[in-house]
Amino acid sequence: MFRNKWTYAGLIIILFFIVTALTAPWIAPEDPYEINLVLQLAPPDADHIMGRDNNGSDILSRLLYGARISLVVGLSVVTISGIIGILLGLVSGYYGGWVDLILMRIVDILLAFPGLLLAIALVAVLGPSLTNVVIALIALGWVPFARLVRGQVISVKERNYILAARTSGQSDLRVMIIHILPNIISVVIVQATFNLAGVIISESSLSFLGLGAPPGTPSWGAMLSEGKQVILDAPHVSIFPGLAIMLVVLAFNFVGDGLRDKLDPKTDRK
Amino acid sequence: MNLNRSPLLQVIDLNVDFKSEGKTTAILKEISFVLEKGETLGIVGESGSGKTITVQSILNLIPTPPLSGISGKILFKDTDLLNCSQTQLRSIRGKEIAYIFQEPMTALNPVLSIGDQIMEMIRTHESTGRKSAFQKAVSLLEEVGIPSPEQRMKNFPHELSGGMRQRAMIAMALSCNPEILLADEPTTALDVTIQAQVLELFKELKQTRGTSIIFVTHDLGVIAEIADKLMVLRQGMIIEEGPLDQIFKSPQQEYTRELISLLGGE
Repeated sequence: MFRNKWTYAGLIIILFFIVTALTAPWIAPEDPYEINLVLQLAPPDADHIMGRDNNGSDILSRLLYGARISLVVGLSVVTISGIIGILLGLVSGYYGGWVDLILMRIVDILLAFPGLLLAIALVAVLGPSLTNVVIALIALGWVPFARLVRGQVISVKERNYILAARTSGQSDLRVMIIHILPNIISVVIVQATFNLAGVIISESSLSFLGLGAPPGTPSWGAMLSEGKQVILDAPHVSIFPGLAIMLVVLAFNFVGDGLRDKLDPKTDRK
Repeated sequence: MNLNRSPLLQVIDLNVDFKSEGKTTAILKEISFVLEKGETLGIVGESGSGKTITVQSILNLIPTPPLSGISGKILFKDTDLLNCSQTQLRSIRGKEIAYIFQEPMTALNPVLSIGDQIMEMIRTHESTGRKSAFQKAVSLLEEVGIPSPEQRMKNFPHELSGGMRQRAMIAMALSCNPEILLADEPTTALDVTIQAQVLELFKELKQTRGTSIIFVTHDLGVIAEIADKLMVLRQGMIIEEGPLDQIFKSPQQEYTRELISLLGGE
């Protein structure tokens, strides 16, 4: 199905993380919130293969629970911002004129800022919490979708079959949803996989900066942040969450590449 | 078939301009014609003569800009199609007046199956369930001569041959039993044998359904087979019009004579 074998590797990794996130309460060896100061920063051993963190909590258990946060934040941000971006992009590209002008200037303004900096500013205003991280990331996440969809709509809407759909008396909404959207959805899916990786990094970054999950929550970014204080004495505290973030992001990028090759007729050599 | 003739469509003094860099060029000049019930009007002319713009204006489909300065009247059963609401237009498009495009490959949505596209058309205008829309689509495909129609419903446009695609397009156009069919060079993209088959299909539809047809082509030979009336367009103007036999027997314009002589030469 996919020519690039890395796509399969990506799919396996994602599937692995989804399964571990779903089954965390059953497979985690310990309670991720349990504090055991006697075993603080204990290095990996046979019983605790990833060792223990600053509070003596089992890193493996926290990583398994952390997968839930990363995936839930990633999926919710990409789904909601994707829907907003698709709708705005469709309207902007289809109607053109002043609607397009206004929407695209807003897009330009948002793109002119460094994304993470704007997210930090938004979370600083809204107050640090995981929900506000999601809101901030959605507020910025729709932008690339809207821009991409708008461009695609402009190229598709001039095709004969769109004129044919209008000729047959279908409303603008039906033309957009039934005739234009299925023709551009593959490009949007590819964009979504790349965005998902970006969102996971952003969530981790914001949690690392103390703006995301509250202290003690097993978020990968927060774990990385806690690890940086003891990176020389106990590098395992930061290495494992770092590896988990890297693996998931890499996996989504592999899948994005594979999907792009598969769904783009220009690159799909049969 | 033409027993109960009455004006169904009247185009009165239709003018369309093209505006570019401050310059205005007239694309259609004072086009007027009448289409009666059950009648087939052939519009013939060379490329750029304004044939497609004429039929697209009937459904108020011409792109503005670049086109502008649309004036005149297009009366369909007392409704002026150039001055009616979008809702009114939508209820006429496809249901009362259907359009058949030149290139079925580009006029059919590549990501939707033939069946879905016909059913979509039916369900746009009729409040019918998926099941009865499916049955209707199957019988339409059968009517236009597509073998094993139930299987073809699942096919995508690229899986059908050119002739089949055009038949599917025609089935789609017929789905709401329109009073007028606007056929914009429906045989041009097809090879000669398929062209003959599709023309035969149009003749059958004329006989069985009594649909009025406006048939646009640059090929006088095709018009000769199907039209009752002929209108010759050149540079956006009607240079000759009248009953087909009369024009073929005694063309008044040199240009029409040339077209007819070319036909003799083929």
